[in-house]
Amino acid sequence: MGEDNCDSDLFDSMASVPGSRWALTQDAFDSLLSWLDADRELAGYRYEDIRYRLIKIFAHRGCVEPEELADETINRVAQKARTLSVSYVGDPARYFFGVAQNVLKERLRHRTGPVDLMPLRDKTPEEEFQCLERCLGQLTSESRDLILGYYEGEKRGKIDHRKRLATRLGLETSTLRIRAYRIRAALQACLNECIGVARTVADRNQKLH
Amino acid sequence: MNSASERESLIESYLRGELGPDDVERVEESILTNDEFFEELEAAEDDLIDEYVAGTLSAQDRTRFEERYFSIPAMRDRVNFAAALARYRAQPSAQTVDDVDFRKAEPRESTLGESTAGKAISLESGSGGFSRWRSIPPSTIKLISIAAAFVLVAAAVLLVKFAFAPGSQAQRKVVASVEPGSLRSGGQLARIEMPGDATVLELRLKLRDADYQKFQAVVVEADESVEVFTSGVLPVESAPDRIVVVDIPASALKPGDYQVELSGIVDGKPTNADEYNFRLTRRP
Repeated sequence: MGEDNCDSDLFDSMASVPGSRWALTQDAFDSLLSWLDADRELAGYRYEDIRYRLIKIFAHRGCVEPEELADETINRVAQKARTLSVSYVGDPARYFFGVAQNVLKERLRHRTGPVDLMPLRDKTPEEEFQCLERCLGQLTSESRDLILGYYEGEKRGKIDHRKRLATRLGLETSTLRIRAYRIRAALQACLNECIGVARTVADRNQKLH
Repeated sequence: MNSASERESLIESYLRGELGPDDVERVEESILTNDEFFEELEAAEDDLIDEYVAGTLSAQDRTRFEERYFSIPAMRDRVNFAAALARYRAQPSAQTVDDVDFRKAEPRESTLGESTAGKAISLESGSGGFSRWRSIPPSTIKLISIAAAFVLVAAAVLLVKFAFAPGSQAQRKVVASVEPGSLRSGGQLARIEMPGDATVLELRLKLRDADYQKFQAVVVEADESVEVFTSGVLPVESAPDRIVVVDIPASALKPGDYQVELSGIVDGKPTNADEYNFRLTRRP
């Protein structure tokens, strides 16, 4: 329907064309960061955020190597960053969008490559459960109730339940959705950190015995 | 795109691959340039991820989901988290929300970085907390109490051990400046003495030229040419002299002679820049 699949041999094909691959130099990278923000740390966050969104765009288009294409887009923008910082007016993200569209249009043929799938774990490790308990305990009671209540119900029942929940909280359903998304993102970060610590301790204990 | 429901509908069609090329492009532009839209997309993806985890996607949607998302590590993380949350909620001993009246829940300070989540919800304080405790089985409450007591005791022991141990809280750093130059060409051997309780050796390596802006340092035992430490990418510090600072854990260094091979980073590749030499002795 207009969402073509990307060609995973994109770079091999482009490598045969002189000047078709843009390698990121330190100077170009520094210029890019300066263009994104005068504060280098904020520029770094902005860079990572743009890169993540580009990866998502390429992945949605079915590209097998969305990270490579995102980096290719960034490399091309970085090469022009010094000029852009002087001449370009507007949100840099819009410029990235234009370059990303060009990168997409340069694909040579449709192909779906093999996808490296990481299977979900069948069982919940005890540490995962305990970490989730701990992370949920760190939420405010309202946030904890919201995130647990948000996932009650199945299918149509879930939709109706969320509407009732939103009404009770005095929110639009779209606002409730965003709240749940933010709480969930915080929980995920907490769980990843907790699991990392838990696994380090478990590994160390295993080595000692 | 005007109303929230229009955006929601557009996003869901985009996620399911049901949009025409012009609309896809419009959505992609919004993903990059509109933070609010991007957040709504991520929230909608959470719902899609939940459906995938629950096994309620059609076979076609499931295949599409796996092809689109499983190539992105961050998305796999989200899927794994969703699965963990679903399994957690399925456990009988997990926290549940019964018929809580949200208007009476007690606000509590969160220690989790939720940004704006939960803070703008206007709730009156009341006795809602008791109704939640009532829904938790007594055996679980007993277990929680025992665990809490254990944690308090452990925390007290750790506090005594670390709060009063000499030098245990602070990093003991030894700082040394080293001039460049190989010994063969007349370079100097810097002599560095480290106290026994030092935890870090900070080497301040003076630079001879201005060719590079980023460096990497490899520390090698001079006698056996064994690498004992490799740094990450190091920036140049330029006031008052151009130097590169390398922090080396003391645990990597025993008494002896060492060579630091400093390489400039160009296009992500190291290029030999200079060499530094030092002799380390330990003071008890």
